[in-house]
Amino acid sequence: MSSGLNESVPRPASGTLTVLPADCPDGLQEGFDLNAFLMPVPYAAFVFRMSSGAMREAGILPGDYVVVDRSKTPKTGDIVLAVYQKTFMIRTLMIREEGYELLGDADVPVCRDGQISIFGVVTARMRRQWHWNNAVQTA
Amino acid sequence: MEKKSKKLSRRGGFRIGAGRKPNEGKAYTYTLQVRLSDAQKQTYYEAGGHPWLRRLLNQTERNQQASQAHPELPPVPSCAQQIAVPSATVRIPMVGANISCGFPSPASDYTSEDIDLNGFLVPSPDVSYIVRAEGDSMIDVGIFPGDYLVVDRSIEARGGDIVLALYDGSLTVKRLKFNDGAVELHPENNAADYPVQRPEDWQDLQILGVIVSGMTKYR
Repeated sequence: MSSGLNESVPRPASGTLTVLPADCPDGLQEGFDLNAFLMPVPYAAFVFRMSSGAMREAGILPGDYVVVDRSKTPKTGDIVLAVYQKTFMIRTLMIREEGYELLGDADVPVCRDGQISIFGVVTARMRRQWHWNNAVQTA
Repeated sequence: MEKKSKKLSRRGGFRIGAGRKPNEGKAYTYTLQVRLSDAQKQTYYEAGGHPWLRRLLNQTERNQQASQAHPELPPVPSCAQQIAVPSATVRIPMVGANISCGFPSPASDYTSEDIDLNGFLVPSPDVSYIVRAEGDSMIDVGIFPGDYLVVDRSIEARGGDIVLALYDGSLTVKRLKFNDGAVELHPENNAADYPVQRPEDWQDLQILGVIVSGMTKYR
């Protein structure tokens, strides 16, 4: 099952991964401060780590870190951190008339239930690409 | 007579607060006139007009300064965004609980430590910069179109590292591998089956830095 996020991301046909200018958001004109960029509301932000592959289609791989912002109002199509049956889940939220629906990959059952509560909206995803442990050893 | 001199004294002279305002302590004395086509004019205003242009110039200036500050390291491409050294450190809680279907109660794993994202994602900010990725050739390792990538110039690339490379005149992000001493740039997208690039000559290829981390912003 597609999560709805993939469709919104344009996929260029070519196989090369090129590089665009990183447009600096307003207010960060002196360069990137990653705290301000990823967490505009620091007191409402939490970092979680994804352990399942349920959002692989949407671009959150196992081992990725996500920033969850509790100050944002969840909307349909947002990736959210939900609590369902006492379990944290990162899924794509669909707000239906009968309640919340959480979409993930096909092997994960779709939860259509009034008992889902939304902890916060996932505003960013982070991944360490390089061997950070080696760096600590050599440094 | 008296009336006339009074009139004169009101003209000209120094007025407090008059004139062009200084901008960030710099003196902007040059006025540029550029002729544009209708389409270019539209693009210019949609991009943000003169604040955008000024930001672009500042960015280029900072990239040149960063290149000159460490001439022994690979140069900084013009599209790079320098990383600011923040005035205050923000630490946010990182919840220890891993997320999965079928894990026990969230409350029981609610141990948290504080992390600072600048230190978490950027090991050496003064020799790193940020670029944006476009293309789907690296999605298997979590680099998606539109992602922000942190490039570290000071790390010597080894086989297996994901690198920012200047190959054939264009910037690209690929996994660097060595095969019998020959350098190879591998894409990471099984579904699309993109070709492996094998530069025959090191002159065609320049490794600009190692990708240390990447991030996607959703909202």
